[in-house]
Amino acid sequence: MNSFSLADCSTVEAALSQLKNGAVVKAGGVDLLDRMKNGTDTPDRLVNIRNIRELRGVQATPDGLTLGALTTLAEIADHPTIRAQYTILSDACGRAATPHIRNVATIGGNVLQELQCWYFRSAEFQCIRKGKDQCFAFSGLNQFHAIMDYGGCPSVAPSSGAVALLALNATIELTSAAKGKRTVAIKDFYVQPDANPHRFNVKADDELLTAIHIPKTAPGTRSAYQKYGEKESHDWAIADAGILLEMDGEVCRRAVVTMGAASPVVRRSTEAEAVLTGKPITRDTARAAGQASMTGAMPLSMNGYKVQLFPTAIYRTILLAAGQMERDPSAAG
Amino acid sequence: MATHTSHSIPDALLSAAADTTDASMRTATMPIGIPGFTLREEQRTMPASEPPVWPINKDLSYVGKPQERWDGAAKAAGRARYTADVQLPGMLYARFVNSTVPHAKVLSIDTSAAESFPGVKSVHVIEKLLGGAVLRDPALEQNRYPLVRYVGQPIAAVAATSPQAAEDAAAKIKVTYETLPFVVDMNLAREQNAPLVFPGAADQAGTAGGGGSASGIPQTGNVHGPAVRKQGDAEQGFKEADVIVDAHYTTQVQTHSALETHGVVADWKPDLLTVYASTQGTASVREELAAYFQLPMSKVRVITEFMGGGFGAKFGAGNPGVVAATLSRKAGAPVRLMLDRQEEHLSVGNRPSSDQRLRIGAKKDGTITAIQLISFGTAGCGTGAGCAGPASNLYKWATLHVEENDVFINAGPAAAFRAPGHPQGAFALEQSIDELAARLNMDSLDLRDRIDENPVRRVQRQIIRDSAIWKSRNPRANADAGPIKRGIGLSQSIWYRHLTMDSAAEVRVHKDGSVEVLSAVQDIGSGIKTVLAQILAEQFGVPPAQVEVKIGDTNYPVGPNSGGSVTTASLTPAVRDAAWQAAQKFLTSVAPALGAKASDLTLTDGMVRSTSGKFQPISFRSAAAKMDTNQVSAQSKRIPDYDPKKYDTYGGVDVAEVAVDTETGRIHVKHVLAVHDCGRPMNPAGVISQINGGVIQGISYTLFEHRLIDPNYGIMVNSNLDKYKIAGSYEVPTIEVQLTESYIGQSSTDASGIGEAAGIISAGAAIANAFYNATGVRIRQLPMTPAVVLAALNQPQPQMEAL
Amino acid sequence: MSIPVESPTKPCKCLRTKNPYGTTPQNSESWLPGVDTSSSYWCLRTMGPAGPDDHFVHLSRCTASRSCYEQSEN
Repeated sequence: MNSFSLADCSTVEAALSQLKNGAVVKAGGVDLLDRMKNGTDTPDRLVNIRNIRELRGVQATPDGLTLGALTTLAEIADHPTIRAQYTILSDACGRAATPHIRNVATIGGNVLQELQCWYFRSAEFQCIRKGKDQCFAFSGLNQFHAIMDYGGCPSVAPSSGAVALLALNATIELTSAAKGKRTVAIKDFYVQPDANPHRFNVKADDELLTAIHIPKTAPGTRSAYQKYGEKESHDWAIADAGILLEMDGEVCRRAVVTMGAASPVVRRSTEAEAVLTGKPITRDTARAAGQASMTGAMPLSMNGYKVQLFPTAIYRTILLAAGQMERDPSAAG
Repeated sequence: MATHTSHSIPDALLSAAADTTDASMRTATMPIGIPGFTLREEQRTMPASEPPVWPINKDLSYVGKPQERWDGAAKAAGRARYTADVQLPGMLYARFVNSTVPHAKVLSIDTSAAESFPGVKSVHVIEKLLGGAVLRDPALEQNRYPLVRYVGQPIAAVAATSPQAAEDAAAKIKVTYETLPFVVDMNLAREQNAPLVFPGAADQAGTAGGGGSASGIPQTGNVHGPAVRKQGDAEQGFKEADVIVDAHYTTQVQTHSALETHGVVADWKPDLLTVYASTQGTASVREELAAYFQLPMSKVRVITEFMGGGFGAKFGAGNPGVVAATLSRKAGAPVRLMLDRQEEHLSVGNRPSSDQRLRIGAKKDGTITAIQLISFGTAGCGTGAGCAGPASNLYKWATLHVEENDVFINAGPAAAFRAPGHPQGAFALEQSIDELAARLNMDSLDLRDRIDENPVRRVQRQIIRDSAIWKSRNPRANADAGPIKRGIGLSQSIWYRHLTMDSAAEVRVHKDGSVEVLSAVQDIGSGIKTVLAQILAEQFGVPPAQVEVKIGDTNYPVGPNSGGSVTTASLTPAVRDAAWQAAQKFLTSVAPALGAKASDLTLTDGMVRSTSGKFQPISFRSAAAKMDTNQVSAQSKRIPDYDPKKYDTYGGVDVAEVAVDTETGRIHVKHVLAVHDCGRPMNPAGVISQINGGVIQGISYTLFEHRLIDPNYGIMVNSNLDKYKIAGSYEVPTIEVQLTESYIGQSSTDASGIGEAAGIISAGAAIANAFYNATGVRIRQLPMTPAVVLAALNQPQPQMEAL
Repeated sequence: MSIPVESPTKPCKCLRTKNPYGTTPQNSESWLPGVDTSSSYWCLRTMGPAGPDDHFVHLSRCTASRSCYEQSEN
């Protein structure tokens, strides 16, 4: 790891004033320090925001919820309102990484974490995401890579929190010294690799992710998230599913199906949603939705199994959200 | 020669044993066999100086009773000082510079920027050291630096006043490479025009004037082999077979991934080189450092107070040892060199892969007429990928044909890894034996009863038969409807009775009643400290916690290097003998004050007694106060086994229950019943703990662990503990251990080791056989990841095995 | 291809494997170095799997024919 200076800030203003000349924000430090140890990131200056109290905590508002950026994954996972009304989010945050990591990792950091592609994470590989023109995964080891919408970079979206936030239609609040606050819908927050391979999201370098707003869910909403790995303890998703169902009695009025480990940016499957909309949730409709989710899948040389895995993840999570199935022992946590 | 193949005993050894039948010998009756099953008595002849024969465990006080770890509290509380915790005055921190390319000639190394970096005290570049007097062919010495053969190969090292300075300075060393073609895929390496990791045999012969091998192992391209072993005419054996099972198995490379990485603190002083090392062999580190630096053994001291795991990869000084010592000598200060996790994955060992074609021919009654194993495996740029041990030694066969091949690739060299070759070999053999049983329409336990001559495993199979888990097994494969299918399977394992005669200890008794044991042996986590405390406790009647155990220092009597499950079997008889002799000296020392002759005194259950009833029994501690000196001590070393004609193997039978999720490809191991043998279990709690660890490591190997190297660049992509996947708490099943306490009458403790046989050998095949029982599909590839499992389930099944 | 067969010599004194770090007066032939195909070898001079001559290290290879061979004293 390179040497760096650390600016410890206790207010948003102080932090914003430090965000210049390549300074990098450190909150929980989980992802950033990993990248620095790998030698893929070598910032000269870190701005520690971990001690900014105002950025921590969950607030219920008339319109929904506001999550302070520094709220830890463990706090979200254990929050009674979130568990009851935004189950998909407590599921996603409560099953990320390990209990130790969830106690320090923040939701802001979770949403902003960078790709987990092993080529991207190795200082030895200068890839398209690092400003070069090559991807090493297509002709290399790609068993954990994307199967859809990957363009020139088949790394997968790493944040399970974002899979839930996309289904919940969340907005990201960004603050800068120059422009003050602005909000971005999470569906517009991430940048597709082909649009700009060098940017993962629309946050500017001088901006701080300060909060995440989640609108109130509609009456009759049921939701769930499940993550599948090669193992259940501490693994990255090889498939995952975020499901949000707005039910009118037996009939699903509106469905949202989201995925992270299928593509470089968290995505909704409109095909799967269409299968469920206006129908009762049954094993058959759930399975059909799972199958529909793979429309357009183009697996790479080593990850064809994911095309089989995702439909299972999705149908089981639909049934879990609908209360027709127990939490899956094959899913993490 | 193949692995562990001959049970014959060199004649010289037998005659040496016979020579000792003289007046100094006595004969005693010893318990033999398994209590509750086959317990009986047999006569053994032993030196007259040996202590009285111990009864079976239930009749002992401390030995054979579960004991908490002697150093457990220190470890749990963080008081235990591991190598990385050693802090010496003025200590420097060292860092390696490692190669970033898989195959290259090093043209130049520029260390100037590192040497002038603030805080740097010494820099060392690894150069060739041609020890031979005359270089036969100067053309060979074309280069000052060793060829780079894998990514992560150490090239140079820096020692500085802080870890950060060492890391920053190491980054400033410029290495210029002339890169060479490389190969990291074993199958590609076997092809005719593959880049050569080492020059071929013909090439070698042409330049070095020879290269033929003493044991006749050829080399063709990157293939070193085959090492052939033939017993009888296997082709004829197959002709005589009623059924032939013919299958192809592959297993991956696993890295040791011990929690504590390799490393040392070296302190080079003019009169003594002291090295604190994370090692499985203080003796091996001392031997290598003395030989490397041409120092007398007496000028090298190695200390391993606590050790955080090795699994076979921590023998000798290694690069960290010699480099740290060199840096220390240059800097005139102690140097700490601990590897990081990436280096640990890349450069200090791994379990070789395997690609095995296994054919077994059998008669209708199960009699094996022929076993043929053709194996290839890669130990990176080293050798050691043989895996024929189980196929050669587990069952009775009429004919055997084994060919083992090492395939070189541009990857870090293998090292011994918990039961070398055996997890790979058993994964294949024990699946094929199950398949054979199904084809013969026999119960798999019945078939093994017919072909396995080991009496202990016979008892173990009976325990399995009587177990609730086995009784709950549906013999019909793929019996469950629905996506989650339950299955139960078993596998056997085998390991060998190896001993190290360089196993000695000193036992001291002090006038205040305290007792201590000293040996250079290291406790690599398997609990020998506790066992030594128990032996003294048994002898002197004091609780083990009150025994002082001083080990892990070459200043003490020589101890065994801990590998091959030798430690307990080798050292405990020496310690018991020393304790016994110290007790006799103690009695002699207190006899005058007690007004008795030493021959009238005994020390049992913590009491000194007069056989003739001269005085009331008094406690060991009060008697000690009457010693005529402040200390008595005795040193003893391992003597040969009482009956050297007996060759013993160990093993176990493991049953795994799995739930296969056929839609996600996840195999959940729910329950493992592990029935194992390690002679007399000295500390059953420690033995069970080791078996728990072996089972978990075996599950991890079977389902998750996989060293992945990018084929285009030769770089390991998962050299961390994040994407190199190891079983975690959710993956640990219910583990039920049953020890078959098995007496063989070979030493004063009659103990053996458990490290190798403890579950890692059999986990793969037990899970695979359970998978078959669950699904009716054979899975012959490791690790059984969702991708592999789903692919296997998607394959049309050519033939369902019967049953 | 014929490989010249050498007269058996003691292996180079720098040849190391885990096995010889013990002595076995009895029983286990496989515990002796070199008869075990699962043995990993290293060279004391290089601490690696190749000798100073850049050829691989093995009981069958570390013979007097190599330029880096060192005869053991005993």
